[in-house]
Amino acid sequence: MASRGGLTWLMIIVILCNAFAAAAGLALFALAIWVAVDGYKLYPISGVSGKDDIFAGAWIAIFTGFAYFCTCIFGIYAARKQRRSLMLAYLIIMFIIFIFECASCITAATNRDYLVGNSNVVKKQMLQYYAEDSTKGREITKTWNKVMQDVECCGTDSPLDWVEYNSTFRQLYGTTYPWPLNCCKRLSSFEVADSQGCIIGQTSTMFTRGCFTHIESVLSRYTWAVSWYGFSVQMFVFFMLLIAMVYFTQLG
Amino acid sequence: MLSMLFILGGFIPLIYADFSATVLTMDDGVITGRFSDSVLLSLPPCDQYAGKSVDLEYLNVNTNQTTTLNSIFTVANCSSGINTVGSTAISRNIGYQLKNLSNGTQYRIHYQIGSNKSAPTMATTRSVPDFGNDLSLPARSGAMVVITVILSLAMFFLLICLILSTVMSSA
Repeated sequence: MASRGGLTWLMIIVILCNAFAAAAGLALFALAIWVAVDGYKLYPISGVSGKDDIFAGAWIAIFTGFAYFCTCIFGIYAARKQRRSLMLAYLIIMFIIFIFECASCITAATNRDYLVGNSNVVKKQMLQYYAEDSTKGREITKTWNKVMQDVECCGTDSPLDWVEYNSTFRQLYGTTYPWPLNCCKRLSSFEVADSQGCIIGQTSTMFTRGCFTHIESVLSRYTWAVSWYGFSVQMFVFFMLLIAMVYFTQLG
Repeated sequence: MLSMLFILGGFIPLIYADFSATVLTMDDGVITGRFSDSVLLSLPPCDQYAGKSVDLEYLNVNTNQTTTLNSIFTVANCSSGINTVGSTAISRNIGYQLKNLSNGTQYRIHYQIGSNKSAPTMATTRSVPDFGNDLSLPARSGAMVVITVILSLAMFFLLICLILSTVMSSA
């Protein structure tokens, strides 16, 4: 049985750690909201493939982040009151939240690997769904048009993707247009600067780099926010819970 | 004497082939010169053949069929560079687009300007396969392995400690 002084110090440590964890949980909540809002508007690329667990992980992290915040405040109260029943309730609730947050981190990292580990999935999706007249097709077409214009790129790895492989776009528009006109440079009035040059393939009239670098960096950024920051919060909470368990066993 | 004749004979193709029609590449300012139904060919040198009319002959290697196109274009002066008006590659002075080819086929192409014949060049049109029939799973990133392993161990360890601390404090 620890002395009164030792117990008081342990109580102070538990309270401080809980305060820090509450702040970290709130930050996780905010970061996960940023991911779920999807400012770069790339959700259809993961949604259409059926592997949208980066965003599912973000939604879980919204709830676990806020739950960490509330439970840690309860933990400060429970530690101050020095009551065993309250500390036990705190430990059990924190453990349940810990499990959910683990699920969020792991699933986000795994789905990122599937989607953008290499450019195959994104390229196949682009070739199959761009210009297709279905719900998925319209979503993908809208997303790709936005990306090609904003980021000034064409195709997944390069414009050659449109020429090398069969695609829905090619089936619909034949070989008159080797690639979509969104690959062409535009004037500030949004008109295509030189559509004939773009169709021939003059490099001065169109975008020549691929869009995959941008898509990969955005989805990776979302994933690292949810999985790596979530992981660092988990590591802190892990050691904090160990200290809280020691405190719990020392309570009379 | 015979060896001299052989050596001289080896030079004969070079007497005619002082230029060639090459397929355009990224270095020539286009994305690609090879499409599935056409190829973009370089133009004959303007310093020697400006103003001359050009014929083109190509052989389909598979079917062994030769096609000749007469007076397809006139070589422009050297002073006119690549321009941005006009709807075809030839009107922009980039190259000549040989159309109506079959996909995935090899062709042997050469220009004919008067009595001058260019060195033949081999060009293959793109075959356009479907993509993604053999998608391989991308490699797992290190991040995913680290996060999964460490968090799984942490979860397990916490569960054991929770049970132990409950048992110890009630004993």
